[in-house]
Amino acid sequence: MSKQAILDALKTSAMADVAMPELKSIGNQLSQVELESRLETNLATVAGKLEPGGIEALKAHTQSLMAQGKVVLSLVDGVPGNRELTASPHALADVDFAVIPGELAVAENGAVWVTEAALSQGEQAARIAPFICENLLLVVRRDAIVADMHQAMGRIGKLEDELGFGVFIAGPSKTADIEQALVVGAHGACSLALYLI
Amino acid sequence: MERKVQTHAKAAEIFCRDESRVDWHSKALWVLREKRDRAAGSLPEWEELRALGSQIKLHTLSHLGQYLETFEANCLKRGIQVHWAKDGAEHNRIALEILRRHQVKKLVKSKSMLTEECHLNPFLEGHGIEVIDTDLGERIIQLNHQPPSHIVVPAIHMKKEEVGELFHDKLGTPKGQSDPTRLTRAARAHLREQFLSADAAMTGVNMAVASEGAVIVCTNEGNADMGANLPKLQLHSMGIDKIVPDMDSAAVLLRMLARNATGQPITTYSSLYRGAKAGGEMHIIIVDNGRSEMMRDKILGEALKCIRCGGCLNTCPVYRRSGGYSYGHTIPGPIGIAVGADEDETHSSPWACTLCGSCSFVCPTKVPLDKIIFHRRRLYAERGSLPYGKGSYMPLVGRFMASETLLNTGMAAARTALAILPHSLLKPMSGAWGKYRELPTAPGSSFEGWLKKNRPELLVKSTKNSKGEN
Repeated sequence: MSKQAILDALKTSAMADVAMPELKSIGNQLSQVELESRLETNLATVAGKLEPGGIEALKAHTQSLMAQGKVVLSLVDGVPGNRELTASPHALADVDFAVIPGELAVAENGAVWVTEAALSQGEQAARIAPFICENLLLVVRRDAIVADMHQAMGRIGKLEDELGFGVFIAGPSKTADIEQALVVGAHGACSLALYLI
Repeated sequence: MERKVQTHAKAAEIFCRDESRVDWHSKALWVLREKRDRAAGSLPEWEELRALGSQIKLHTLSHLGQYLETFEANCLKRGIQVHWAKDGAEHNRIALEILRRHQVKKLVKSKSMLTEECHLNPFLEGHGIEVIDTDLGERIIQLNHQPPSHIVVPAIHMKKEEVGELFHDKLGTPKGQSDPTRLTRAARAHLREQFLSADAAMTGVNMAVASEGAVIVCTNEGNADMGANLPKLQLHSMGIDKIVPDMDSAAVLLRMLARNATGQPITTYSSLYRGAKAGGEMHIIIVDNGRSEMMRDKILGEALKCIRCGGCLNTCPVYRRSGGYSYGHTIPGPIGIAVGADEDETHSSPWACTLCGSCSFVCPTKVPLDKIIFHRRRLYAERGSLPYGKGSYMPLVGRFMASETLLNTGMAAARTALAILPHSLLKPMSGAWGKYRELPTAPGSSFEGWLKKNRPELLVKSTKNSKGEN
């Protein structure tokens, strides 16, 4: 049994016993104004955009997208779309814009925490939604911005029992694999806008 | 592709034939180093994070058995199937068995140095399973039948014109097209088809969170997530060293990983997989493959603190100017020597290092790379398996340098020779050292001689001191 063999081998380890460090004190406390301004700056460095105007601006935007014939999947209450989740995740390949709620946003790096619970509609759920769409529109509550990853993990805390998938998303997908030239739009969304509500 | 068995120096000589290419390669990596410096410099708590990162990893390694068991127990609670593999061969057998059970014909893989280490692709292909690497850089080198030359930017050795040529040949892009954006778009379309038609997905693991029974996978392209979230079957391969105790520990490492790799504040996607999708299956393969053996040596064991950011490669003067294919192992650069030197049949890779220590200073988890590399040299010496004939002449050099009389006489002769003989005559005797260097101008006397003449009082004192204290 390889498990036992590996565990037995580890008993002969020469690594000296080191105590777990205290992690609670690290990190910064920021005011709401600072949180929002840092979030905007850092979201821009990861090629995303903080859109002003909140939920009303988002609704107007998706209305105009649908009027242009775009396929809009909305998983945010109160924001209408023209596409529903179906049993097949593959079928979402035609989504032009996905509107998805995030649980929190991280000021230091522009990342938004999206969980499985937000990626569902009625009986249907699709972890693929924020990745397969051409463009991603995220919505986060203004009071759910944290300064850094330590605070983010503090909020997420011990994960809820039902959570099987969660993701920090910082900007649209990107690559620099060809001669270090940054190209936005690799395999995931090609653009990302964040609306604060 | 099989690597030729040759020493680092020999392989580097081939890479160095094209000097402008060497400069281009070195500069591309230095740009990454500069971005890293700016990102690290923007966090006042950077050094504190490094210290914490190092302690977290050391703590975890010193309790690794316990944490692995906790991790497995928590995974099982979440319905994740956990497998243990002693070595690469067992890892590959386990993967094949799972894929066969699901009649998988096409597997999409996201970047994993572990599966490179296990040589999974040729193994699965040999059993009739099509394996598609989906990271753009990985796909490029897969189409080009090459292994990665860097652990984060695997196709760093290729110019855009060469990628354009390759894509024209393999993906049908227009001849002469070399614009990175257009080439990336072509790869996106090509790989989108692969994602949509794959039967299973496999990813590597950046961190395995023991307290949650979850794995964290970081990518910029979204290829891991496009892979894992479409087919019913998902597999994740991890080395035993990927464990972190909890989410707070993961936060510390996530803050440093991308900053130290490419200067980004975080990768685009940091995904936490903690169970299968509805109706799906999730498997984790935990691999040892020599790691527990390394931990029996407390210096080598520290190499397992590594989080694979690639920062040490980007800063290494030897890697930048000799390329990833000059090392006789899967992972090149300083961390490659630290974890992979045993793979190198020529035993030469620990000498692909100037011991400048730059790698250790940029490492986010304070892996003492230069110390480990030096230790690797010592281990070869102790086992009597030094490379380049060092085993025969180094003992003589040792005896020469240990004898005050021999050393003084020898150095006096060298000074005289440098002063009176033409350098054209002496240079061939300087060997590889003199290949790209001029011989020095000989000083008039030895330092000791100078000291005796000018500051005799210091000489007496220091001799006494050293005798007294040692």
